[in-house]
Amino acid sequence: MTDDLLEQHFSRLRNPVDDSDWLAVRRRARKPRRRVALIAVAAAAGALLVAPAFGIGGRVLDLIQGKPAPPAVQTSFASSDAGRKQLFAFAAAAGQELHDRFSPVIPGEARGVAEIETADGPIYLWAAPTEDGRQCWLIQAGEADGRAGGFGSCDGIDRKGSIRPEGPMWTDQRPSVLIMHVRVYDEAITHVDLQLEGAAEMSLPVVSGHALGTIPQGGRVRLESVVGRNAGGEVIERWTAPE
Amino acid sequence: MDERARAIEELYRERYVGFRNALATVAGSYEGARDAVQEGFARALASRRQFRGDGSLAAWVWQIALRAALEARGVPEVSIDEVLDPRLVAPERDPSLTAALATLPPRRRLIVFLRYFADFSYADIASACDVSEGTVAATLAQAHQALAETLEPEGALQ
Repeated sequence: MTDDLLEQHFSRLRNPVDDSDWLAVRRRARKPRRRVALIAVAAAAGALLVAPAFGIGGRVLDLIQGKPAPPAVQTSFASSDAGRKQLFAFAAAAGQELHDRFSPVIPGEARGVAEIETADGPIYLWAAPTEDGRQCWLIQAGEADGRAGGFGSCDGIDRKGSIRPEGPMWTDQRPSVLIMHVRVYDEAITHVDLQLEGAAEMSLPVVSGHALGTIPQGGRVRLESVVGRNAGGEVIERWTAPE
Repeated sequence: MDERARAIEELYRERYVGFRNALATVAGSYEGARDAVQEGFARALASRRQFRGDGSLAAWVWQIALRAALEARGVPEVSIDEVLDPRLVAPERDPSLTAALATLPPRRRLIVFLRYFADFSYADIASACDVSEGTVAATLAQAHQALAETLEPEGALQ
């Protein structure tokens, strides 16, 4: 039969050597990819287009651009707020006076600020206004429906300065990338330049008061300084890491 | 490690040699094919969430690895049909088969290689080449006929 004929011919030509290396595949999978970097830049550039809204003024709600956060993300904001309130209720019941630095969040008004595609999956930055016009935010490194873990914070009523690096230099470690997040409070700052020890300098656009980016994992990296610049490139504010 | 990553690892361990041998017809060498398979599985692992499951995992990874092999050759992102020209790595080892394969259009040759080097099922080939199983069956039958006509008159194998 023809099948047998073909099989006989091909059986002589198959290279039986098994030089597979699964660990090498996994190492390669963890390396940041050019395509991923391009997507990240494109996402950041796209997000930058909405940045001028930052300067319009008004309620913080108006400054948070993008699509409404999914219910799971809204729930996450609400849960964090409830946990904070509960903590202060417990403290008050115990006769302790704690200074609540945060204003209640409005979970239903949470919006997407930025999305970055990485080798580890997408990273989302969601922000929700607080009742006093500040913001809370959630960086979600995982599924968009909120099942995966996230991390974030809120603006305190006693914050100082126009630039606040979170973390102090990264807010979470992923298998392939370090997440960089800088909170910016001066509407004149359109992008921030990050000086890093152990990695190349990077520039991130500011969207709705947030700058989000990633750098490849590998070696020790330390944030040395953050320079906030306006659209003309002039330095508006500089943050330097404490010695 | 999640379930999909485990499935990709299992596929790699079971089918690596077949993938490499089939991709060697596109890459032109076993070394190039090995790199393309490694890259293809690495990309599949990194982007496994994008696998929708509407085709076989083997076919999905094959398409990624094939793209990696073509990229390594400097082929721009165009229709695969326009640039694909799979050939045996060592044609001198079987001149009769080489001659028979040369009578087939590139797409049919790839289907033959997927069947006999990578041990793909008809369904996998259909998914990998974006054709129906009926088309695969018809193409393989035509390929069989062409090969038989080329081989049998020469008495290559009886």
